Amino acid sequence: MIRCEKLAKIYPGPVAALVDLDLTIPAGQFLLVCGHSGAGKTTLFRLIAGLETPTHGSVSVNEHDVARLGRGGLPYYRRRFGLVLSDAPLLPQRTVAENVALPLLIAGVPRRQAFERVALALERVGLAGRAHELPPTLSGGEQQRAAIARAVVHRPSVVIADEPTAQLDRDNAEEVVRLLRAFHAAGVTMIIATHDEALFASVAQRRIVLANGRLVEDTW
Amino acid sequence: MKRGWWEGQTEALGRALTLLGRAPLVTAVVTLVLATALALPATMAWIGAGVTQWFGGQGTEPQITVFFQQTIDREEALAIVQRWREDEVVARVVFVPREAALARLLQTDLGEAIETLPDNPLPDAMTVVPRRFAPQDVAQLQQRLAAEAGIETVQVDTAWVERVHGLARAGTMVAAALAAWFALGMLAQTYLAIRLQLVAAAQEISVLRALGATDGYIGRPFRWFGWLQGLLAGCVGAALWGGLVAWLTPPFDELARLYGLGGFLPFPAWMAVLVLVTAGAVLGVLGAEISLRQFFRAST
Repeated sequence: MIRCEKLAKIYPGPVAALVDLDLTIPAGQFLLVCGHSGAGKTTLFRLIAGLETPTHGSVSVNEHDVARLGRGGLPYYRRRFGLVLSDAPLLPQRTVAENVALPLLIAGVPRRQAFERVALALERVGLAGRAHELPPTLSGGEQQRAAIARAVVHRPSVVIADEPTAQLDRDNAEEVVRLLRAFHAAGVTMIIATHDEALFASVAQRRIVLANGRLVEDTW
Repeated sequence: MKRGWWEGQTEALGRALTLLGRAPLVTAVVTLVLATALALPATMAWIGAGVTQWFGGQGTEPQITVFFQQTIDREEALAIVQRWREDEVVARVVFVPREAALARLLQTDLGEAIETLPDNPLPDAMTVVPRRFAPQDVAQLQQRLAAEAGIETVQVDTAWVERVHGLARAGTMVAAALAAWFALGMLAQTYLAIRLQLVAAAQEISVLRALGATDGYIGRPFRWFGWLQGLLAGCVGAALWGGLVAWLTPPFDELARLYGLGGFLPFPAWMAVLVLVTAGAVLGVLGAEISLRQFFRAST
């Protein structure tokens, strides 16, 4: 369970990206995060994933405060997540397989075992034949599917995806939703930001709306 | 199952080799700069050691020449020699009979003039080498020898000994200062090279961090990079050093021949080459470590 209490992030300026947000996300939930650009969705995701420190308030996972983890503990905390974020793109100079293998290699999984799991993950997202190509040679939909494969290959307990269907045509977008639904069915908590709520209507269990850094709507 | 330490290191080494190969011209230029920083002080140290060896064989060991009075006979002179051989402050004593001294003198330009003399004008003599070379120890021994009965004159150029010692000390200090200076330069250069690599890999590092990589994991290829760059510089530096030594040996040998000083130092021993290469690798890793620590501190 992820709990945000009075969570706030104020950037120099000052710009209040997130203001006193209280949110509890039970394990296994499929949560849709909606709101206009600049509403605070990405900041919320970065704070939950431990990529940013809150200005005040706290994020805790299973009652453990993330702020108390310190520099040494944060990397291990981040490994619980599968990220599909714009600031964690596929690395263009590494092959698709090498990109997808990163979370496993970072976690210390032996190389051979890691690439066996990568092959399975790529097969699952329909990219088995593109494993040895560089990301820039893939289409937008294929890149997004590769990013999802990287997000789930290490079997995280939570997947955070920021606009995973943005700039994809309908068929590719539906394919991405189908994949996310399949991983959710396996017990993974899903936190997805999207502008296309209709696309996720059949799978989302909860929908929150952010506006100007505040939680303005919470629908179960 | 966790992978072993070795597998992680091998992977990081592979990344480091990729980084080195990505910009071969930059790698070559940096290697040449670092190699020069290693080879120059090494060459100076080699020259310093050679010069010290010259004087070590010829005179840094002070030698006191003692002339006996013409009035004492050979047996008395030999008794004095024997007494000084047993003295604890004396390393060795060589007796020079007046006949041997004359024979040596006849070999020189003065030979013809000496031959015209009816008798051998030279006295028996002995050369005394003290155990301690400090100027005050040599002066003390000189005074004791001069006070001995049967001794006419005691000669020692203590000023010259002091000058040679001073020169050797200054030379050693200059070589050490240069080595430290160039080592600092090498550290700075490696720091800069790694810093540029880190800046170039900023996006990759940010992604690795987001995926849960520790600083140790992120820094590993860059530590290997520093080590490889230093090792490469060490090898090229050793080759440069060898080239300089090969180039400088003939004129130094010629100089030595002209002054009757014996040959110059041979090509640096393998151990010295190994030390140079190791120094390159160690300085490379150190430069990388400083750069990484500073980068991680700044990006916290």
